[in-house]
Amino acid sequence: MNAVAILGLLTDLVLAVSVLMLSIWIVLTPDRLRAVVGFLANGILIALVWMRLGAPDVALTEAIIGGGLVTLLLLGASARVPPESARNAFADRDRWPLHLLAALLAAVVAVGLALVVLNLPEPAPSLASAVATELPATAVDNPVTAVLMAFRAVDTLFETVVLVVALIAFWSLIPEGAWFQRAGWLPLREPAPALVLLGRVLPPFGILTAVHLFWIGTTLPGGKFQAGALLAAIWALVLIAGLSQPMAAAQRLPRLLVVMGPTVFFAVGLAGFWLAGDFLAYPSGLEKPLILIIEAVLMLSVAAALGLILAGLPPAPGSLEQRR
Amino acid sequence: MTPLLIENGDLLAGLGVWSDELLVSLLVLPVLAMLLGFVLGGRAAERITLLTLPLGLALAIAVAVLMLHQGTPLSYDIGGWEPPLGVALRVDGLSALLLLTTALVITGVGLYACADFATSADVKEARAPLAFWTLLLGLWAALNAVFIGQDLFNLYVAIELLTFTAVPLVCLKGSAETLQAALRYLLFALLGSVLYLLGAALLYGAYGTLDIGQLAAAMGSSAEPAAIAAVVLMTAGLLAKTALVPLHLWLPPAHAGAPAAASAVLSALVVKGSFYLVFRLWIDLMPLAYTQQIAQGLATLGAVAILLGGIMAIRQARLKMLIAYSTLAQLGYLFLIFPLLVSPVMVPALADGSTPAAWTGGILQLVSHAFAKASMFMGAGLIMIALGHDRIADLGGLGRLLPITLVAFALSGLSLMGLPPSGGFAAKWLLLRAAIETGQWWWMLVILLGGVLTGVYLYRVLVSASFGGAGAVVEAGPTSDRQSASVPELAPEALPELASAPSPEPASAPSPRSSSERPGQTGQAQSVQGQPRLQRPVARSRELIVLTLALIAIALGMVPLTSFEILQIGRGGEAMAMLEPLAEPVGLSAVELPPSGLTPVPSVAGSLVAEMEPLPGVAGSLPSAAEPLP
Amino acid sequence: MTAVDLFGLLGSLLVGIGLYGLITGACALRKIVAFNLLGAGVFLVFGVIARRGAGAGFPGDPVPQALVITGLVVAFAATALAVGLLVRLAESAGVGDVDDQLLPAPKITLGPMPEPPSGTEERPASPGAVALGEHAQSRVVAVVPPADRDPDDQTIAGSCA
Repeated sequence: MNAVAILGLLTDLVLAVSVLMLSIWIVLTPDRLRAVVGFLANGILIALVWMRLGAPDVALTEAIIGGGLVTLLLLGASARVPPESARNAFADRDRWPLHLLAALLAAVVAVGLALVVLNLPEPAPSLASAVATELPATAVDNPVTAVLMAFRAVDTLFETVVLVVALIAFWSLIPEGAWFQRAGWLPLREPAPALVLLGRVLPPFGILTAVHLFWIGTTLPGGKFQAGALLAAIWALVLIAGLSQPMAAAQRLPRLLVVMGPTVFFAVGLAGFWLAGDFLAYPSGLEKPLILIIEAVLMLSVAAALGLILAGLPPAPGSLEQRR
Repeated sequence: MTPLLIENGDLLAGLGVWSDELLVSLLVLPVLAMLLGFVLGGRAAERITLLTLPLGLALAIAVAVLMLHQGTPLSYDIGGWEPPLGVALRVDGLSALLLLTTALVITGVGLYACADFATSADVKEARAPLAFWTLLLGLWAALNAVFIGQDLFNLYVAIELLTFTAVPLVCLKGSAETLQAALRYLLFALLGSVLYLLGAALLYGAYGTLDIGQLAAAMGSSAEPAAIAAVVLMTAGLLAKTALVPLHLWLPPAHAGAPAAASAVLSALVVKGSFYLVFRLWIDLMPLAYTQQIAQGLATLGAVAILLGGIMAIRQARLKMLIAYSTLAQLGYLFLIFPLLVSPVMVPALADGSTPAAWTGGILQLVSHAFAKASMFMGAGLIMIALGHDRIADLGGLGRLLPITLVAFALSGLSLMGLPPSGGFAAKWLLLRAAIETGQWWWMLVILLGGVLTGVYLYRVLVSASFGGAGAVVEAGPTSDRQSASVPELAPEALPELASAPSPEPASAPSPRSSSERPGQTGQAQSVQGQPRLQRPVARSRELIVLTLALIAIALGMVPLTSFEILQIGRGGEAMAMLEPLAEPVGLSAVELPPSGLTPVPSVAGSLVAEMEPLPGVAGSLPSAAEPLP
Repeated sequence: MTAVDLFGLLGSLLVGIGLYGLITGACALRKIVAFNLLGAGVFLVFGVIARRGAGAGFPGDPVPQALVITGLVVAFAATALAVGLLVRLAESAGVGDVDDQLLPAPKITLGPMPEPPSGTEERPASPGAVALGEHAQSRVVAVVPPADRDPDDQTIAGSCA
C-alpha cells in the first residue's frame, strides 16, 4: 500500500468518524436548534463521503437537497413549533425502558446490517458493464443521466409526479380561509443588510451555476435535479431577504410551472409509442435533443416545486403571526 | 358480456395489439388527469376526476378481459429496456382482480364524494375539494403502480406516492386531532418506506437486479443471508404501513378522523397496497422453505390483530372508530394466508392441480373486505350527516331515517362476520377449510373467535340503530336537548363550500325540520317528538352507492369458485409452482370457463351505476362454496 | 479495511442512530431529523453497493447512484410533508409531537361557536371527547382545563418534549 492510498484511507477514517460523532450528537443534544444546524454540517460531510465513493452526481444532490434545502425546512419549522420545555427531563426519566429497548433494537439492526454489508457476495454484481454497452444508444455520455433519463426513465417520471403530489399535499395543509394568502415562512421581518446584499448579488451567479450544472449534466456530473434544487435555494434566499413576494397557492403560474415538467415528459414518453415503438423510448437520432428538452423543463418544474414548498404555508387567519 | 367475449374474439385479438398501451395507460391516465386537474384548479379538478372514473374503470376491465382471453399474464418492458437495466410492468390474475377492485371502489367513492367536496358557487377555488380530487387521482395512480410493478425500486416510488396521497386525505378537515393522526401515520409510513428501500438496496447488492422475477430466479431454492435480511427489513417496513400489530397504533385515529370518502379509500385500498407487497415478497420472491419458517410468525401477529382489533372495536363509543378497529381485525385475516398456503401438508395434497383453498380464501377476504369496508365508512359518513353525530349509543331511529344505509351496513357486516351468503363467508369458509386440511386447528379457532367478536360489535351497532328508538323516548329530554343545542354548531358546517351538491343549504339552516321536509329526501316529515331528527338531508343516490358496494361484497360470495381460477394466471414463484403443478390447465380453464364463471366481473361493474340486478347464471352460494373445486 | 468497508460500516451505524432517534425522539421535529439521518445511512449503503460494482470504466455502478438521486428527492418531499403537518399541528393546538396530548374538551357553555369549523361537514371523531367541545379544542387552546384533570397531565399539553 503506497503513501497516497494510506493518506486516502486516513482521510476516509477521519471523515467517517466525524459523521458518526456528529450524527450521535445531533440525536442526543438537548438543544433542538443546534441539532438542526448540526444536521446541515452533517449533510456537507456526507456529501464529501459521496465524493470519496466516486459519486459526484450524488454528492451534489446530497449537498444541495439533503444538506441545504432540508435544513432550511427544519429551520422554518423549529421557529414555529413550541419550544422544548423542561418537561423532557421529567418525562424522559419515566421513559428509560423505551430508550433502552430502542437502543437495543437500533444496535441489533446496525450490527446485523454491518455484517450483511461487509459480507455481500464477491464479486459484486453490477450493471456497470450493461450500462456501458447500452450507453451509445442513449446518446448521453454521463452514465447516471442515462439511467435516469433512458433505462429507468419511468422512475424519474414518477419522481417528478411525487414532487407535484408533495406540493398538493403540502398545500392541502393551508389553514382554512387562507387559500388566497401568500406563503409566510421565509420572509424575515427585518432581514440583515448583509442578507439583502447577498440576496441581490448571489442570484445571477446562482442561476449561471444552475444553467451550467444543467448543461454539463449529459456529459459530466450534474443535471436537472441539482440545477433545479440550486434555483430553488436561490429563490428561497431572495424571499428571505424580502426582495420578492412569495406566491399564493391559488395563483396559476406556479402551478403551471410545476406541472409542465412531468407533462412534457409524459408527452414525449407517449409519443415514443408511435415514433420509437415504446413508451419512454426516444426515436433514434433525436435522443439528445429530446432528453435536453425534457431536462430543461424538468429543471424549471423541480425548481418551482421545491421553491414553493420552501416558501411554506400562509399563517392561519387570526393567528398571532398574521396580526404582526 | 360473455357472448361478446366468445363472438368477438377478433375484437379481443385486436385489443391484444394494444396490450402495452393498456398497461401504460393504467399509470398515465390518472396521473395526467391529476396534473390537469391541479393546473386548472377549482371546479375543473372535480369534473376531470368524474370524467376519469369511467375511463379508468373501463381500462381496468379491458386489462382484465384481455388477460382472461390470453390466459397468460401481460407484461411490458418500459422504454424497450429489459430488466435488470430497465423496469418491467406485469399484470397477472391477482393484480388484474386488484386493479378492478381499486377501480370499482374509487368509482364508488368518487360518485359518493361529489356532495362532500363540491366547490361552492361563490368561491373560485377551495382547498379541500381541490386537494381531495387531485389526491384521489394520485392515489389511484399509485395503487395501479403498486399492483402492476415488477421492479422493487419502482415499487418504492409507488408506495411513496401512495403515502403522500393518503396522508393528507386524513387531515383534510384541518382539525388538531386529524393533523396529529396524519403526522403519526406519516412517521410510521416513512419508517416503513425507508426500511423497504434499505432492503431493496441489499437485494441489489446481492443479486444485481431489482426485478422480482429475476431475483426469484437468481435465488433458486436458497437465498443469500443478505437477501434474508433484506426481505425481513422490507417486511417490517411494509407491516408498519399495513398497520399489523404491534405497528398498528396509527391506524384507528387516522382512518376514523378522515372524511368518510377518504376513510373508505384508506381502509379499503391503501393498506392493501402494502399488504400486497408483503405477499409478493414472501410468495413470489422468497424460496418456499423460508416462507414456511416465517409463516407462523406472520400469522400469529395476524391472529393478535384479529383478537385485539375485535375487542377494541367492541369497546368503542363511536361508529367510525369502531369501523377503524374492525379494519385492524380484518387485516389480520390476510396474514393467516401464509401458513395455510405454504404448509408442507398442502404441497403433496395438491398434486391434482386444484386451486388452494387458502389462496382463493385469502384473496376473497381482501377483495370483499375492500367493498364491505368502503360501504361501511361511507355509510357512517351519511349517518354522521343525518344525525350530526356518530355515537353508537344514540343511533336509535336510524332505521327510519336512513333505511337503505342501515341495510347496507347490515349487509357489509354480514360479509365482515363471515355469514352466508357473502364474500366474507366464502373467504372465511375457505380459510377454515384450509386450516382443517393442513391440520392447523389453532388458526381455525382464531377465525371462529374473530367472527364472534365481529358479530358482537356489529350487533351492538345494529341493535342500537334498529331498536334504540324506545330508549330515545326515555331519554327524550337530554337527547333532544343535546341535539337541538348542537344545531348552531352544526349550521356553520353546512358552509356553502362543502354543502351537499343536490341541495346546497343556506349557511345557517334555521331548523333541521325544514330541511328534512324537503321532497326527494329520505326520512322526511316523520319526525316524532322525542325521536332523533334528521339534522341534514341525505341524497338517496348516495345511499344507493353505499348499498351497491355492500351488495358487491355479498355478491362475491355467490360467484362460483371456479371463476377464481383466474387468480392462478401467471403465478410464478416457487411456492406457486409447487402448489400448482399443472400450469397448462390453468390457462385453458381461464379461456374455457363456463359462461357463468365469467359474468360476475363485468356485471358487477355495470351494477355500480344501475341498481343491482340478480347476477345471471350465478350458482347457489353455499353448495358451490362447499364443494371442492373440479 | 478498505474505504468501501469503512463507509459500509458508517452507513449501517447511521441507520442504527437514525432508528434510535426516530423511536425515542421527544418531539416530532427531532423524529424528522432522525428520519433524515436514517435515510442518509440507507443511501450510504446504496452508495457502498454502487462503489463495489465499479467497472467498465465507471467509478461506481451508475444504476444505484441514479436510484439514490431519485431517493433523495423523494426523501425531501417526505420531510416537507412532515414539517408542514408539524407546523400546522403546532399552530392549531400548540403541541409539537404526535404523543403530546391535545387539551381535552373544555367545559364551555352551549352556544354558537366563534368560527366555523374547518374542513368537511363531519366533525372529528375523537375518543373521549364529547361532541360539543370537539372543534373548540382546535381553536380555543388557552382555556382553563377542567378541574378533574390530573395535574401532571396539564404540563404535557402545549410543550414539545
